[in-house]
Amino acid sequence: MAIIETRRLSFGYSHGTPFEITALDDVSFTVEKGETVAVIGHTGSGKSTLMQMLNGLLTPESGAVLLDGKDIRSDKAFTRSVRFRVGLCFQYPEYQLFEETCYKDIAFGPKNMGLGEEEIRRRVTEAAAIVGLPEALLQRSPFELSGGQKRRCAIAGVIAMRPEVLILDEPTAGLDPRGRDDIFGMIRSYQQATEAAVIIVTHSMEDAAMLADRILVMNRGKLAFNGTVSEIFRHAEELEAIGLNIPASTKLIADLRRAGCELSPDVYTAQAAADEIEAYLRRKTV
Amino acid sequence: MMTEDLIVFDHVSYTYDDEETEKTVYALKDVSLTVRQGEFVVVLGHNGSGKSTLAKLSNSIFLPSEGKVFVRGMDTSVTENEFPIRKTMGVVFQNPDNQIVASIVEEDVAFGPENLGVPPKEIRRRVDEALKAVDMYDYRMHETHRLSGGQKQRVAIAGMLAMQPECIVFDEPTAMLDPKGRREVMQIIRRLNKEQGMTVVFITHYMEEAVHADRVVIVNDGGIAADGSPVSVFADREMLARCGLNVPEIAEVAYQLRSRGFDVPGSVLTEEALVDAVLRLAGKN
Amino acid sequence: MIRDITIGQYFPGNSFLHLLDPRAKILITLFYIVTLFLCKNFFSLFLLLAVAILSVLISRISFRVILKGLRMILLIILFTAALQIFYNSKGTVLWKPVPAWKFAVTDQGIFSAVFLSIRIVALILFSSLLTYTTSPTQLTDAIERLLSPLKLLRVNVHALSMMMTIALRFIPTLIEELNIIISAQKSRGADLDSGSLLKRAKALVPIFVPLFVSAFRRAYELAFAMDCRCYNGEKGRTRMKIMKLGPRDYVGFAASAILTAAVVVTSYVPLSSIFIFESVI
Repeated sequence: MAIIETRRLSFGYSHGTPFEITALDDVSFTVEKGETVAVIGHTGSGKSTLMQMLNGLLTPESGAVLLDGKDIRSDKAFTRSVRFRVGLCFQYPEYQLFEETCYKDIAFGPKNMGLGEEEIRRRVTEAAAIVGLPEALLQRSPFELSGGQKRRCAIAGVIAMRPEVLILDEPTAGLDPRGRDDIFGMIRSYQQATEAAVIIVTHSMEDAAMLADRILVMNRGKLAFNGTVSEIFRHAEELEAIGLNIPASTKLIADLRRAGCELSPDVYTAQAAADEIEAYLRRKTV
Repeated sequence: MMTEDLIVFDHVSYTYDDEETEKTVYALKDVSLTVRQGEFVVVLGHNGSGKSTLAKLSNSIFLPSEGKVFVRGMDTSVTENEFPIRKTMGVVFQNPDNQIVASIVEEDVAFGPENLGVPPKEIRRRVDEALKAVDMYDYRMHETHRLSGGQKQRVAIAGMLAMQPECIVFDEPTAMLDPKGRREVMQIIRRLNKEQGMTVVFITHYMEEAVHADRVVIVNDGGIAADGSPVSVFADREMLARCGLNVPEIAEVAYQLRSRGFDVPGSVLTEEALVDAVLRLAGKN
Repeated sequence: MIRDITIGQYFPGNSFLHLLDPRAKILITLFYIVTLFLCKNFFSLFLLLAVAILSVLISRISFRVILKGLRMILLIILFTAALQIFYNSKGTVLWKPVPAWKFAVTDQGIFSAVFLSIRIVALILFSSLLTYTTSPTQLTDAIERLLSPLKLLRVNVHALSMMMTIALRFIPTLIEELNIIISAQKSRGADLDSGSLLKRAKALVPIFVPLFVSAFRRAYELAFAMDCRCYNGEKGRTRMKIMKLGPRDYVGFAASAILTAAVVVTSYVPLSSIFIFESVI
């Protein structure tokens, strides 16, 4: 059964001002346990609004969000528990650190859950291990850490709630390739340890291809595509038309196909592109 | 005049004191670098490599701990040179929100020339021209905080252009932008370099943005690990890996094909070039 | 929602009001407010309200925006009105719910409640037009010019106005940031709406610490950016937009003076004397 499901979600901002926006329009999808889903769309496509609806921060104007088959708005206690069961990590989460020590900051979520001291300690240690934050740093102020360590500490704060659905909004924003690989490693190890569903919001098709089983493409508040990675990449041209950056390898193969080369379109890494071109050239030159 | 030296880093080190360990840390160590007029230089390095310190040293916001930085022959450590240098060297920073001073687009762009004491009519002309150069003229009366990241960054660039600098240093201007914003900003910067001959120093960690540069400088651990044409720098895969950087994706495909025995020249870095090379190998041209 | 705030916003345009010299606008607004407090009877009050509504029409700012601004202060209006009704016991008693209580609704109470409500509406309508039709930089520049006599007292008027410019520029940015921080901490189970006063005060720590840290970081970066743009205080600084009083502004001043005169006459000169004046003619 799906761990999370949305039914025809709609939402708008700033009604009655000249800046009115329709943020979401009739969005329905499901996410299974253990699945990794990437939500792609450019700024203003409605993906951030969608994320805040999944853990009940925003209430849809119409439609519903179901966690484990139950409407998250069905009763007050359940709505509150959803905050912890659907962990939402905002963009640039390091800007939300506030405690005196990293330990206390990571413990903020578990503490709000009402857990005992011993359980909190276990969770903080475990979360710190998953994000690769050395024990020695736990008693330091989060404001003394380097940029990369701050981000880890903030992500650990969400992981420590041990959510069944982990949502990360642009977790690699501003990071270099090494930092990005580290974050992806963390997400995978959390998933392996807990079988949680992971939803990652990103601008980057490369990131989505690297991490996700399935991709949801948002455009102007609507769910434009919903499919496996290779299904989505078959629509490379449509994706470009709605302003998304497709990976350079995908674009290369698309351009070669347009020039009359018989290549398979669902390619999204340099390795796969080289394999595909090699096979094609060998066929050609035999 | 085209090859005149605009910025010269002469054995520059920059140090700061780590409060925790009370040790002196080198952000940059013994860096020598020359940027010539009209060049498009891309500076690459991972986070914390020291590349952003370069930007602040280039217009006397920071002063070198050792060595000297010269802009058009003016020493950045001489106080009287401060304003002439900042007029010559514009800097655009990473966070578009934190460099916009005024609430309305055209009023922000006017801020620089107003500080320089330019006459009102001339400011108006410069502001309009600068906004047209970054394709933001139609937004001149808009509120800055309602713009997209890419638009804000273009306003920041216009703010520099209105001061009529000879060179603009871009300190990771695309790091906080979405792909659309990144494309817009890159397009404007390349156009400034090609059409107006603006000297550009572009600091980034996106490898793709380096492909069209005249020159690529790799910064690692506070020193310069490589300095040369994009083709020569991206050919040194070991050095890039050591510096925590990837090869641009197209260059990687080209490399893979080359290592499998196909005749793809080492100069292939762009998609168009690789498409041509593959079509030629397939006998389609 | 905080993002719906329209008070203090600027709506670019080319109306008569937009084109007035910002200094003239500030002075006219001050004049209007003073007049509003001089006004004593419904006739002059409706005159002032009519002028405010007319000004909104001239500014070509949509009534939806204006009404949204008014909605924000609806509570204040209701509160003041209620106070007037409950505490003004002068005049004829219209309704006394419990005979033993002192409390009674009187005709004067209702009269002053209505009067005050209209006064507040007119005040908000007219004064919000100042910010709706003037960009923040022009506004602060104008304040700088109007306060320039204070320079003789060694007050750094320019620094004050620069601070205002930056504050106005960053308020929306910080509000947006505040919204994100609140959402993020709520996502980690922060409870902001229940518990004792002390508990609620404590609950603000996770909100305000990150906000202040971020504000300082922004200030630090902005200072660099201003240095890069050769900011050096007032010395040698010019302005793109020159302020010059023109015919338009004199028309504005004249209209303002006529309005004040009309209000004063109708409020303080006994009506009978006006009729006498007419009969003489």
